Amino acid sequence: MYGYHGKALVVDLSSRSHHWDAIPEQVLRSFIGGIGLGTYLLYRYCPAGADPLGPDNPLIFAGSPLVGSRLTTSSKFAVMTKSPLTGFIGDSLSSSFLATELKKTCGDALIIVGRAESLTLLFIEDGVPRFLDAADLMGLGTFDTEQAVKEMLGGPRIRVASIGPAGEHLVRYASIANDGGRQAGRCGPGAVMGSKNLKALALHGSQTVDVANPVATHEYGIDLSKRSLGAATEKYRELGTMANVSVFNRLGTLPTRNFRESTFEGAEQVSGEHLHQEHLAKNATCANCTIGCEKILVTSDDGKKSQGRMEYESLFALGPLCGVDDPNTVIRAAGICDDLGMDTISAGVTIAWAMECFDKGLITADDTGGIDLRFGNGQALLDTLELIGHRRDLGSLLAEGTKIAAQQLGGGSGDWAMNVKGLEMPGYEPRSLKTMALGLAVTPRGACHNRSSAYEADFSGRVDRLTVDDSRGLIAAESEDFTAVLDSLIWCKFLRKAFNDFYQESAQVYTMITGLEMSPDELKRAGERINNLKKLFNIREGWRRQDDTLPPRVLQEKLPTGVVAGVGLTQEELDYMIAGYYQARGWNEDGSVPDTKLADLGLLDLLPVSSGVTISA
Amino acid sequence: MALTNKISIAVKVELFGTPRLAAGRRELELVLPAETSRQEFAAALAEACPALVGKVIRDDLSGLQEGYVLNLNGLAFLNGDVLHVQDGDAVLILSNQAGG
Repeated sequence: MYGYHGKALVVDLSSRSHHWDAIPEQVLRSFIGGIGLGTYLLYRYCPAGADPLGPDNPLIFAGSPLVGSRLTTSSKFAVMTKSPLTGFIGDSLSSSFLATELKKTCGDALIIVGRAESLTLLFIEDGVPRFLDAADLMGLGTFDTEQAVKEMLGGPRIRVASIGPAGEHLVRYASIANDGGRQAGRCGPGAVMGSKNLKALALHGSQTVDVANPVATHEYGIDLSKRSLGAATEKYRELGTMANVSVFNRLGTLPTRNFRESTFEGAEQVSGEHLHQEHLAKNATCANCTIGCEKILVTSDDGKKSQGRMEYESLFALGPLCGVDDPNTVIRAAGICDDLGMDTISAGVTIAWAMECFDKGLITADDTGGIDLRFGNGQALLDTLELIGHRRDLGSLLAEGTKIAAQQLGGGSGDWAMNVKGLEMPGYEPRSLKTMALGLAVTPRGACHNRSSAYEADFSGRVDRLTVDDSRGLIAAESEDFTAVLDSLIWCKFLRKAFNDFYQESAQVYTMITGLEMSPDELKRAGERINNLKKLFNIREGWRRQDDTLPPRVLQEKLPTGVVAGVGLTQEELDYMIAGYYQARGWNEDGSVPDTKLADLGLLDLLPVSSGVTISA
Repeated sequence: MALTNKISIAVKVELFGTPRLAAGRRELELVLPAETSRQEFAAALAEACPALVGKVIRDDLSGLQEGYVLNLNGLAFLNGDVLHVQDGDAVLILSNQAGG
């Protein structure tokens, strides 16, 4: 077998045992790797109804056939689990050398089940796990944890994934940090890791996999790397995703003050252009990447110096969404999140929700311990992040995320709890990006800009982004399938415009590496299959039609400012688009998946899947 | 630069991202024919801001580099060969790499 090992390492923390499970070639072809393979493994290894923070919920690290090929941007892995934020499928991607070490150590995937009796460091060397006491690491931030683990185990070649205090305290949007501060951030995998008493995972291995056609792969890699340095990625190389701030502000799509507005008067101060000129310390790259979108920023004021990665989602969530226009504060806030091990999007959105509760008197200074939690108060933002990461005082409520926190607080605060299915909204205003609105509503992991790239249509002029029509369902479905393939091979999204023909090239690359014949249509079908299985997982875990929706604010309030002033989105418009999406997917009107579709995609042959779940409208 | 004998209008050109960094400014004004071709727009822009040539405008001034799109007043994207702009309009120059 080329490109794959054909097996996954299963480690049980409860019994301190391990074994290898075979992954049939047909499964690998059908689900590719990364998010796709991870979805298959999650469906197979997660018992129906498992408590996301219980020992039965597996924590899965999935590699891909491209890992180790040295093709640009391919050193990525997926983390899959049942999300403690949503109760549905939880997936996250990260780019780092941990991906290559994972493949050299654990086969095609690592599946961690059970729960350790005490805080543990799991060290896996060439497939053999050791369960080490991690009591000395308790309470350490992610950066110190990684450093300590490397010192303990002896060397820089060991790759580490760890949680910070947020994961230890089961903050529902805790991330898994790896390889120098990179984050598998969304959906709360760090909380699942914390629930297993697993402070850190260290990997070291030597099991390489041959590529079927190394000459062709090498030549293709050179060509693709050249293209990755051209116009198709210029934005990412020059300013990174931070460039979005000033553009989104001008177009009225920059969520501001908890999605009350979509333009921010302080946008210029936190714009990519300003940060580039005043705060850029250096550019950086992911493992095996030629694009180099990472911008390492540094504070410039007299306060405690902070330096770290910055990208648009952290910037919007910790800046405009909280009304904060001080770049030094946003840089510090992102650094705090990375060290505590928390998703910056969920952290920022949850604090913005709390700021609005404070504004409306539902949360008072007594609740905050004296913190003046007004929109725009940067110090309050920083202080509240620390409270959340350690679950102190008000932080314990906010550590639950907006969905659960609003249920606990009441007072109508669910109306401005900006999440879908429990996952906090990314920085795309749905009222002025109608195709994206649909994508956010229906994507299985909740409000997500990465699993649905429907915004491409809105930002290209392919559709009128301010109105609704019957084309959006197909666009959203196709964008999800495209993204599923991208995330399963795994390519970086920022490479997407560098392909001449994405499916054609990707199918050829798959064959070059694995030796398995793959056509563009077959690859496209794999994307569809993966998204259908994600949906089946959610249905199994209790998904209902009303879970495919958007927060009440989006459906009840019109945007008040900018070029989109007066623009809204009604429930009827959203339902119309959702119906079109279900139709484009070949699903039933209630969003369930018919058996004919499962059979058509071959899912009935691959898994004991079932669509026989009653879905109430 | 040779403009055709059409009615001339003044538009504001707003720069975002790399174009803004290259030009060292956020916006500039151009006088254009009311029905402006992409080539005419590029040529007028190059004359007003030579720093954009190469990075944002093609060296032969035939149009913008492939990584950029035009947007009218923050609303509609200008995808045709002719730019239907009016006096006082704002033309935004954006990266075509949306989102992130």
